Amino acid sequence: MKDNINILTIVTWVLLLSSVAVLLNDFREFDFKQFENFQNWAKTADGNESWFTSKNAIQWSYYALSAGLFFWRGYLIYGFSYFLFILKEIENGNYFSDTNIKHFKKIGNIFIWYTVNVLVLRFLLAATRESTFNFFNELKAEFTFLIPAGLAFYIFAEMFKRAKKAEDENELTI
Amino acid sequence: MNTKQVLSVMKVVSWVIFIGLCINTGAIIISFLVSLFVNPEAASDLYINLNMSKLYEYNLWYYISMMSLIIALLALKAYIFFLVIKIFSKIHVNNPFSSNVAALVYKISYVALSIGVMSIIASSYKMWLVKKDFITPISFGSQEFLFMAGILFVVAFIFKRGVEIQNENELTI
Repeated sequence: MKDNINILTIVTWVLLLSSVAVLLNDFREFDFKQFENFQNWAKTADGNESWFTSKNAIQWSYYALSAGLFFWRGYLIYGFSYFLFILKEIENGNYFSDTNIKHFKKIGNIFIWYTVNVLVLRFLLAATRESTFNFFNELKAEFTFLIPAGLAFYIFAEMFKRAKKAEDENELTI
Repeated sequence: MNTKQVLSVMKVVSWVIFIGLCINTGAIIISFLVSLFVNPEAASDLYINLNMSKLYEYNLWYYISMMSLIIALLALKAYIFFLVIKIFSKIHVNNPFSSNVAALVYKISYVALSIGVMSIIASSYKMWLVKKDFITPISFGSQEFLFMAGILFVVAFIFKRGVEIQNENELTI
């Protein structure tokens, strides 16, 4: 089992580092392209126009919403990093520790918050660009993995709490 | 939100996803069979605007291989959620650790591993087709399933340990 834990730890590190690298690269490209477009637009924009006219507000909100999506991606990667702590505890033989219970709940929270917030941001992004937003198509990708996974981790946390109680009772009896 | 409520939500979510995946798989199988035996035009709109008509025209066996991989992946994903629904029918909130549930979690981890491996094969096949100037409009995500398989394998092992502790407790009582 220890070998399996080591392999899984390595896989988790590889996944985390590659996700961070992809996120940083995407952010660098976004910052470069979007900010350049934004600067070009700002040079020709009419300074007398009211802030709340559609062009001003739309350009700013599109930029802010896109940056927001990057934040939530980073938040999801942060959630995945908790798996490393869980694997460390399991490697040390502490299967039903308070740390594992706490971390499973946190991972569940992060998955669900990420899904909800990304859906909202994508809806707002589609609204600012006046493009179509198909709720079910957008929900499909996250729905089939992240929401069930998030809820499953909540359930694991509860089960591990009960197992910890049983383990403590056992030890007291001994 | 207490465990019972979360379990109820999970049951509903699992059923919705399972039915959705079954509909997806069934629709693609039917449109694939129609494209093979009734009307080749069906290859241009298999399901949700999936257009494989160019691959069909180029080589029938490439088309059959690609569609077999897509159908197998969808069927395995539906099977995972079928196993999840089975877990919910067997799990008891007060005594969650049972050997049946541990065995089902192990099964799910093996099926997730199969999906991950098959997705890698499908992605490699897709890259090979790209070299022949065929771009298939479908992506195969293998990483999340391989990761899920690993996590579930560890969780199944922990479940086994939970079953041992629960049995010891019951014997003591």
